[in-house]
Amino acid sequence: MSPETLVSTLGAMRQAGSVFGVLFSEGREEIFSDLAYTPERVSEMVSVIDDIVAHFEGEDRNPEVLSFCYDGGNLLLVLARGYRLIVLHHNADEVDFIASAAGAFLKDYFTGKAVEKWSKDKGAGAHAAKAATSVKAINARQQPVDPTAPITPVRYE
Amino acid sequence: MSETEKSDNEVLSEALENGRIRFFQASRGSASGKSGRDDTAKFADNLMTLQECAILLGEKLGMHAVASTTVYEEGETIGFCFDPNSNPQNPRVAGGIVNRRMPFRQFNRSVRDFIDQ
Repeated sequence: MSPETLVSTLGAMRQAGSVFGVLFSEGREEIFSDLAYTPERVSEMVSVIDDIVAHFEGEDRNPEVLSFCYDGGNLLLVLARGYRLIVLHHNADEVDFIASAAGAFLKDYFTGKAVEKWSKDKGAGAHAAKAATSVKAINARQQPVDPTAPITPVRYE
Repeated sequence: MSETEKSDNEVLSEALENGRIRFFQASRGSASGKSGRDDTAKFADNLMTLQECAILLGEKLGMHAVASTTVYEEGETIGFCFDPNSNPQNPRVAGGIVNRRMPFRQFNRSVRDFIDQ
């Protein structure tokens, strides 16, 4: 998924229903955020989520989706393969729709990552093959010359 | 096994077999339920963990009054709601565990219906 697609997709989610904030992170690294908080607060949020995930992992647990309802709004947290997607929304009744959309986004994101990796690996493989051919050519040119072979005049054009 | 324990296990077995929510209540640091001691302890552990998570996240969001929290994890849906009619100084909580992925909205509505009973 290109950065433009990522921003566009999460931006669209941000505009859906009663959503008022989206945060996407991997571990303690923020990938996308449009939360209406200071960068420091967002960074703290990313750290808190990482701590929460670490706590669950420490207990050998693997939660996939968490939903929190507060007096001032609702927070949905979707966890997958070290990635965390937070969606803030006003209308609690939208939680299942948002969870479904968040899950679909993550699937697309992982598909994009897999294709990117496959592309890179394929490219690396092609380069390696080309390099091997060049080395072979160099080695062939450096073979000792047979002194008994007939001398062929070189034509310069 | 005592009669009570036998009955609790039947409640648990029936709920697991039919994918029905096992309901619990908690207040003043103790929890109760009808599906057995272990199941109730499981709910109590999850209640503490989820409350802690809610408080930590709420602090960063500037939101403090938690109404409910739900988690879906490996085929189970677990959550709780605060009883809005309980004394804020001594809040009561009701919650549940079900052995399937349940839409959060439906799960929360079921817990609120349980509170209202």
